[in-house]
Amino acid sequence: MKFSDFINVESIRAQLNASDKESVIREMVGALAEAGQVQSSDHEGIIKAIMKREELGSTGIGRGVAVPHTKHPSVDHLVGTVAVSPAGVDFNSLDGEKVQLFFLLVSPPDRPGDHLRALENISRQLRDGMFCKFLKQSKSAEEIRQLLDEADANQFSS
Amino acid sequence: MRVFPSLFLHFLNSRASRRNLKTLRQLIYALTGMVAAYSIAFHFLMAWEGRTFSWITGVYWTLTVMSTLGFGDITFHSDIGRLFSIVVLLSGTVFMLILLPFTLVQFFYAPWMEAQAAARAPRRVPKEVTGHVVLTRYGPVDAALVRKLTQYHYPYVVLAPDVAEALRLHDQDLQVMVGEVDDPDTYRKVGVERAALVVTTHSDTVNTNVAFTVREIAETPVVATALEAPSVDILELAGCNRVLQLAEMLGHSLAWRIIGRDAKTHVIGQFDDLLIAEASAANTPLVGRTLQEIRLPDHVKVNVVGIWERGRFETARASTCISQHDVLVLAGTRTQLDEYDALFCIYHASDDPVVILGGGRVGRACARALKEQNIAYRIVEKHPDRVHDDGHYIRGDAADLEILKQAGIDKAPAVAITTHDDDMNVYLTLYCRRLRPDVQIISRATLERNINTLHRAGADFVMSYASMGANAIFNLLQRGDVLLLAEGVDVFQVDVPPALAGKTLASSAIRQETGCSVIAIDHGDGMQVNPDPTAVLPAQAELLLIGDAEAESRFHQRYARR
Repeated sequence: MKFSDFINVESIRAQLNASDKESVIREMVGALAEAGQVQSSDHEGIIKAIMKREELGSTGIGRGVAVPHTKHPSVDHLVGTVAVSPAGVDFNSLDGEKVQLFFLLVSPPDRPGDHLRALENISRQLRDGMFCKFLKQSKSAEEIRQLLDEADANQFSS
Repeated sequence: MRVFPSLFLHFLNSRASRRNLKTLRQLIYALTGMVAAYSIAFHFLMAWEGRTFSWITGVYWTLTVMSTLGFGDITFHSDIGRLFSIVVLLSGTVFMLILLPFTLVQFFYAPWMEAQAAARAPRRVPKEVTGHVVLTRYGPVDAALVRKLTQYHYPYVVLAPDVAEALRLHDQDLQVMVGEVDDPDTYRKVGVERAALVVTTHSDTVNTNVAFTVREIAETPVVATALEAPSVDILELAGCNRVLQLAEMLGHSLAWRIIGRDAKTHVIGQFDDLLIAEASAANTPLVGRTLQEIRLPDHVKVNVVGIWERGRFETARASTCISQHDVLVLAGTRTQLDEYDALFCIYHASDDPVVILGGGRVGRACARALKEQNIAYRIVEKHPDRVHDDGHYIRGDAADLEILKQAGIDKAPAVAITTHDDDMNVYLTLYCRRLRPDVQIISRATLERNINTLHRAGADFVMSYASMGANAIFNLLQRGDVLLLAEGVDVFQVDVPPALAGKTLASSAIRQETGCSVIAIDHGDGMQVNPDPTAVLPAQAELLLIGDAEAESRFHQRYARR
């Protein structure tokens, strides 16, 4: 599964303002709502579901990357977005470092396969140090989109 | 005590024994003749010396001299008489002290021992014995299988080529029968047509002959092991119903245990819809928390049934704290495991190649299995003829640090040690563990007695030919009711014991009584995975349990019957 299959370009945020875990998630879900990917009325429910997932263990996987995600019945297809926080946010990451790069994913509960494949794709691509570095240095949504396209074209994958 | 009538019958029925009795009779006649002749000569020689003795005294004197008792109360005074005494003494010594005991040993004691041996090493299996398993030898796989068969109360017979071997096996408390494995008569006598299974673990060529020979007599299923892949077709052609390539199976099994690369589930067995999987806890937020704190059931239905802690299996409890090197044993449906993967697939440990030490059959099979999963690997092999120039091989001694470094030991997520030499495997396990305290080490064992040593040396998992082969064969009898998780830990399926029918899981106290944990109740029309303590155990249902060998044995002793 490619990034272009589930990352909504309009909701990409290259300059996050949030400074803590919940506000990052809130801002990213808000971006999805603004782009029409999720209903505003479901906004809080999705944030709550993502925060519940975070209770199981932080999705901050280390090296300045976090992948908050959840399944929620309000969406009928896989939706995702990318955000960069140049200053970094304390996300209770496994390595204790601040997180600059966020991939957020929401999928319908009846499509577990898509959800898993999207996460596996994100996980695989994020193993590439250069890809992460370039994403963290991106100044605009367009730059991020281009990097995602390059990743889709296997220009980063090892 | 039942052995004595059979010994006596065997003794009387033996042609050799009857012939020996005749010989003894002749010897007794000869002895009687000699005693009579000497007594008469005594009588007349005494008369010649001017003394008179009764005929009974003559017999008495002859016997005391012949037996060398020589009381000395009656003696000759003349030289002729003394010469006669010498003759009687010498002939008596020869006859009574040498010939008679020799006869007793040679003609009675030895046949008696043989008869006793034959009773312990029968040449025929009684007709009442049915549904038995016939093993054509007693190797490591067979030994592990016999333990399993005994545990589940299956009758079995091990064929031994000669009485000496049969006695050796009998002394190990095994059920044996003397017979050559390539003789059709052996299979008639072992009642192969009534047997449930014939198991043959000889060389490929001998196994082929066994299969052909059995097929002459009966259609009983035959399971054979095969060393070489081309032998599989030949063995099937010869009549084997199932051919097990143990090296291939072991290599695959070792590869399946390589889970240090990510936190996703790796399915290691299946019972209908219930999958048993393992997942590494390394580099996940589970580390450092108890199961109670994690509250996994709030997020996913999959159940943690046990934890591997560096090769030691522990039943999962709420208070169990997960550490970096732990591997979770999970039970759930495919969907439940996918849900678990969705939660944990983001935590990634390593893409570096897995190091395989040893490029023999098992090592190569392990490599093939890794290749199928797109997992990078490197094989360390010192024999040039086994080294292929495909970029995966490092030629050299695995005990050489430089070679291990070339293979990538510094970054490898896992090391699979696959040589057939247990001493070497212990050495390499210890060496790799010292080099990399955090690496996952999976080792092969050839002899069961080395399994604990390998664990103590630092192996996370140990798998052996013997247990794998025995379980695979046993599953053919049990229709796949036992899953070997690793050495000494099984998931097994049994009918709900009558003593537990109608009780709740909590009141059954199975875990407290036996150490086994119930992971599912199979109602026939559906499986109740991870039942809660209030679940009732119906009489007609089956239980899926997990436990180590001792716990499993305790369960069978306490409740289960075949």
